[in-house]
Amino acid sequence: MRKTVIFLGVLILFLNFTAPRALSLCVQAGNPFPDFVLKTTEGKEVRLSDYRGKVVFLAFFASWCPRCREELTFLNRIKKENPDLVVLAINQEGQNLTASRLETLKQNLDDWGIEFPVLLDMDLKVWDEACINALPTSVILDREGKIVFAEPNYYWASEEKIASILARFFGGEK
Amino acid sequence: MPASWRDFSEGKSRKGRSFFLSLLAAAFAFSFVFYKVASGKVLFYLPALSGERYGVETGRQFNLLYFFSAFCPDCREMTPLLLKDLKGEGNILLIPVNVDGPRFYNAVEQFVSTLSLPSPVLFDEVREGKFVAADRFGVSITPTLVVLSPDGGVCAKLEGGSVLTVRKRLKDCRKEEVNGIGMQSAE
Repeated sequence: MRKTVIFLGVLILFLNFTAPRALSLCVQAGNPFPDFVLKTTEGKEVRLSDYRGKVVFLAFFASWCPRCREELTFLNRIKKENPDLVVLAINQEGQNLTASRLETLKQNLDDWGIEFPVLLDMDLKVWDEACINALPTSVILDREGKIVFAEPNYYWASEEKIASILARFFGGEK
Repeated sequence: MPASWRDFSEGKSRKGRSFFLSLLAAAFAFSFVFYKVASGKVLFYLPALSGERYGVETGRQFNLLYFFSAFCPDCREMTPLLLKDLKGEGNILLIPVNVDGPRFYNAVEQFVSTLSLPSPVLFDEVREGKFVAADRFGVSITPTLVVLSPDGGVCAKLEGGSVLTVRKRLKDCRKEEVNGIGMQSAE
């Protein structure tokens, strides 16, 4: 029994030190997320501060990232369940986004059934300000625009975690 | 006309002429084989992390194109396993191809040095609205591995973190190469 406990302890320590980790973000819970203005895939300007008074979910993603697809489709579902939630997806492929690549991206979003605005961070200003280092990365802002959750989703298995945070604002299981 | 040739053509030495023709045929065959083996075809050129441009060339060995992103957790997990799995595999060249773009140079450089990816690491780039390498092989997610046989054909394409099957697929590709079947043109 004692040997088993020691073995498990060593194993946990080993995994803790060897598992790949994301670097920390520049944005922290309790602080406001820096305001930004970005264009959607349809060319419409969106300003973050215009959504003050609403709970906002920022989803940083790229189209080549399979876990991002999972997250976006999950967010689509919870957005439908709670129309008061604002979801803004922020794409990081600006440097390669030619007209035809943009059409491909829009086609992908259509295929995945995404209905919320998808913003293009063309010069990666928002990306850099938040120090995004893994995809997908999820940030939840409260009604005052303050960060309540910011996590580089290294292992996308946190639907429950996100649902429990949203439940604080909307109640029930979101 | 050289004297020796004139001698042969005049039928003075039938034995010598056939020897000369055999020699000529052997030289021709050798040149042909050498040409096929040594002169690879460049499929495409891309800029590397080092700033130089490299051509991905067929003809000499199997090429394993490893499409990755520095922000992709699966790539981060898979890379060490892939490198370990490829140890001891002869006649295969691992070519990492990044899809993030040069704007993310620092992140890619850090990823490459932390995980000891072999050089050159190529940056895929968009030309005429398409990624030169990713679109050519229909790569839409990372990580993806594309195995090119020496003739440039796509022998296998593995999407996601299926590193465990790489060695087996390589074995199959080598078998197909020997048997000369199952090749699909990359063109």
